[in-house]
Amino acid sequence: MATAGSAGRLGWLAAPTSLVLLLAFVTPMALILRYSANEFVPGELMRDALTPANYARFFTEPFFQRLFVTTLLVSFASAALALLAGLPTAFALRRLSARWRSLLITLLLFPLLVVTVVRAAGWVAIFGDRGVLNSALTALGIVSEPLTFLYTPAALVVAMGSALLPYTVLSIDSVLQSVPQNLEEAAMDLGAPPYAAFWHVTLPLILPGIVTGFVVSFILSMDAYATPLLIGGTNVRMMSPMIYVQVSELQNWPFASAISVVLITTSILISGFLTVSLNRRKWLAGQA
Amino acid sequence: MARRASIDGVRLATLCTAALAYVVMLAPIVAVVWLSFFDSDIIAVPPEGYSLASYEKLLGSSEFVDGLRLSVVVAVSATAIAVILGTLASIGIVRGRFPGRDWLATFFLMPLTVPGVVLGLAIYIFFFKVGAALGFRVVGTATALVLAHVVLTLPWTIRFTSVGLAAIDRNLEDAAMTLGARPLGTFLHVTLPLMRPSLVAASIFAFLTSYNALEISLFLVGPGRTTIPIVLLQRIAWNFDPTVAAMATVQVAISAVALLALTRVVGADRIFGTQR
Repeated sequence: MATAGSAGRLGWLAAPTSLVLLLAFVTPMALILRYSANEFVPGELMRDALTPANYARFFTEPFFQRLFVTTLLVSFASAALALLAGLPTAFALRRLSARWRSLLITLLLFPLLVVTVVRAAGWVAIFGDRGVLNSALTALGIVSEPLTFLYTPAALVVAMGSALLPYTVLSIDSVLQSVPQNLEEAAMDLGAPPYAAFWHVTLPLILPGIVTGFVVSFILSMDAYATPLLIGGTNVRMMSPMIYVQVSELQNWPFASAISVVLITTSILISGFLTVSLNRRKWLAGQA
Repeated sequence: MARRASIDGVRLATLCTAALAYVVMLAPIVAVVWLSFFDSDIIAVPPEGYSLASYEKLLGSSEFVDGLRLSVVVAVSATAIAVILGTLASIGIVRGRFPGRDWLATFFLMPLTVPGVVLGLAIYIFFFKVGAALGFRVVGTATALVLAHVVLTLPWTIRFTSVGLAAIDRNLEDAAMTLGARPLGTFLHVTLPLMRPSLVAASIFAFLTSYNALEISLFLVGPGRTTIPIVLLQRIAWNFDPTVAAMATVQVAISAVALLALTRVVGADRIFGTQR
């Protein structure tokens, strides 16, 4: 009929966007992949080649090995911290009345919409030598000399974890809403201790949300730029800031491209692995 | 008895963790706003006093005023383009019938999955090559920034408009057509008005995404042509004073206004699709 004919033609409306993304997204990403195999010659941008040298350098030079391991460790720790704090927060939100719930969800979305630089600035102010934390500790008489928080792995993990918290809370909250509260109570009425009711009844049901929250957090911390730059400084370096340094200070496009490819590939591999292996735990918890 | 106590203990621990989580999430934002009222040239807690001096300095700072102007111009342009392209694309993938439709929908969201710095680098290299091939400068122009921001905001406008479009009762459109309206008339007078909330949400979100964009702009800005988030980043790293905090507070205020507008239009629970 007429609708079938017009539906066929309506598909063409997606063409302009496809074209824009092919040109300004796919082509640039393909260029990066290609240039990561080029040779860097100081003074003349780069020379066309097909060499694995950039990748070999990244995985063999101790400085970059450390960069890689730091990026992975900080990302795991930040995502774990966000999950640890996010799980109870999602449970607390479940018990609230509609009005309080919508207020607290809005408060949760607020940090998500505030640009990372601003939040990182806040952490600089909190963790600085003459910052909020040190002045509070001094005023309380706990320390006499200011402690060093800034540029430590712990400070970076706290700052990143706090930025990831909304994601973990929201993704757990979205599955938790479909779990009836009296399920857990029923288990406890039948004699299950609270932890067992959680472990065997609720956890298997909300596991997909937990996995999504953790994986999203992990990927976002792998990609993080402003927070590692401002809170990690030169002590705790991560990959995203290094990509910028390679281009802005050394004009080394091939190496920056190679780091980019490694960053994306690692994120995809690890998040795929986590999604598959953690979701299998659902089966285990159900059987145990 | 013991069980009752242990349940209460768990409940208390849950509430305390949740409270702490909110403190940790909001503390950096509160700290920045607080700092912006300090009456001093350096950041030192506790402050000597409070004043609005940093805001006065901010208005006189060409770095801030120029940055704000560029950020707003780029964000408005990118939003306009991304909302139009995104709405068309949504109609295509929601209402069109063609093979590979689901794949195309997934492809449209792909720019979201690439790290900001990597996307920024890729687009920078691409523009540099295009400029070299065509014989004029692309990198460092406002046009390059707008194009890059369109790539960044398109997934969001497509997401918001396609959800809005899919929720529309098609009987209303059929009724208009049965009564003799042409397809274009039906779209303009029936579909588009029904899509209004999602179009508003898409515009607000696209504007904010572009206005806040940092990583993707890093390589594309030039001397005297720097967006606000990058000005902020440089100043925090080199010269963090209450004026910088005031600049950051302006960002916070814009985000707060955008969030309030979004919750009015789509509801807090629906902004990131946590609630069906």
